[in-house]
Amino acid sequence: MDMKDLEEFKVWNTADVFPDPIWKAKYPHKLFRLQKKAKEFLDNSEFLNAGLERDGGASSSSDPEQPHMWGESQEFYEWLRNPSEEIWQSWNYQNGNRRQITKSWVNFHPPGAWTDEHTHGNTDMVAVLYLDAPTDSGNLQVHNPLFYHWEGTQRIAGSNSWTNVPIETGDVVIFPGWLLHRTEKNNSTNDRMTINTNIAASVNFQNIPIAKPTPADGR
Amino acid sequence: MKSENPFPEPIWKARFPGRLDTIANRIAKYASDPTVTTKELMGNLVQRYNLKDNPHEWKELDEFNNWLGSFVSEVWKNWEYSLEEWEELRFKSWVNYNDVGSSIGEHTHTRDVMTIVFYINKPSDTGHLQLFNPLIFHWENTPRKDDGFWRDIPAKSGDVIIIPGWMMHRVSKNESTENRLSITINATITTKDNY
Repeated sequence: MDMKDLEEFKVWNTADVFPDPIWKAKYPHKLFRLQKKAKEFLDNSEFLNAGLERDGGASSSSDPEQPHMWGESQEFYEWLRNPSEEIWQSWNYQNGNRRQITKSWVNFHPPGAWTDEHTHGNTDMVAVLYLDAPTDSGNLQVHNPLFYHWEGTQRIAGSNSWTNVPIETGDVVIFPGWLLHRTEKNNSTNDRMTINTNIAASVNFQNIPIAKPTPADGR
Repeated sequence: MKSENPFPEPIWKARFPGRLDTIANRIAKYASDPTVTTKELMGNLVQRYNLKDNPHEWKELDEFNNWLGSFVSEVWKNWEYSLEEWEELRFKSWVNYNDVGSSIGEHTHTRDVMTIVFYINKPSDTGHLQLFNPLIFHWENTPRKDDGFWRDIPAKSGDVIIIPGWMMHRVSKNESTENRLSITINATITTKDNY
C-alpha cells in the first residue's frame, strides 16, 4: 500500500456506536507495598486453590481474607472508584451509586502457569490489577462475544476469536463479567501476580413470604 | 481509562468524494424502467431492482467502484474473512426509494457476508440507518438505563456504510419533505461457475 492509499484509507472510520466492553489504564501509583503484602498473603494463606489455574498456578479465591480488605490496597480502590463509575455509565448500567465489591482475590502464576477460560457469571464488572507482569509472562486473552455471528463466514487460518490484550505491570483492565477470558502461559522466568475484583450493584432483595396453608389446601 | 477493541469492527463509514448527480440521474431513469421490479416493503419503502441491471454495474458508478474496492478489501481483512479457491464474491444491488413518511422495518441480510449502503440523496431528517446491538443478550444481564439497544448511524449524501449481513438493522421514518435515495450492494459467497 503506497502513501496515497494510506491517505485515502484515513477517510474510513469504524463507526462503533455500541458500548465498548474492554477498558484499560495504567495505575498511576506505586505498587511496592501492595506487591509485598500480596506475596506475604500468598505465602501464608491456607485456602489457595488450583480451580481454574493450570500448571502450578494458584488462586486465593477461596480465602475469606480478600485483598480489598487490606490497608495496603485502599489507595488502589480509591483510584478505581472514578474509572469504575465512568465505565459503568458508558455501559448504560443502572444503580451506579450502589456499586459494591462482591469479591476480590489474588492469582499467582509461576513460570509455566496460566488461567483457563472462564467468565465471572453474573458479576456486572471485573477489574484486574497486574501487580507483577514481567515480559513474556503472558497476556490476557479475550474471546470475541460475536463469535457466533462472525463464524457464519469462513475466516482466515488461525483466526479462532481469541485475541490478546497486551498487559504490563501496573495495568488495570476492566470488562463485564460475561466476557469469556483466560491468560496466556507464563513463559518468563519470573512470577506473575494479579489482584482481581468483582463489582456488582446491590439490589434490594425481598424475601419470598412463607406460605401459610389454608384450609382449602386440605393439609 | 481508554476503551480497547481487540476484535473485528463490524461497522465502517466513509464519504465518497466523487460526483453524485450523474448517479442520481441514472436512478431517476431506473424508477420508470419497465424491466425493473418494484416492491413495496414494510414501512412503505419502495425497492427497485433488476437482476440483469444491477446499479453497481452502471457506468455511472465506475468512479465509485474504483474508490470503494480497496476499502472493501480492508474491511474484509479486518473481519478476517477468507475465500476458498473454488469460491468467489458475487454482488447484487438495488435502489431504495424512501419516500416522505416511509421507513424500513428491522431485518438482516441472511447469507450475505457484507452490506454496503451508499446514500445518493440523504437530506437531514430523512431517517437514519439504525443498528441493533448484537450483544444485547450479554448486556441485559445487568439492569440498564432505559435507552434501548438501537443506535443511529447519522449520514449525509455521499456517505457509505458497511456492515456485515448478519447485523440487524432498520431505517427510521423519513420525517423530511424530500425523498431519500440509496443504493444497497450485497456481497455473497458463491461457488465459481467452473467448479
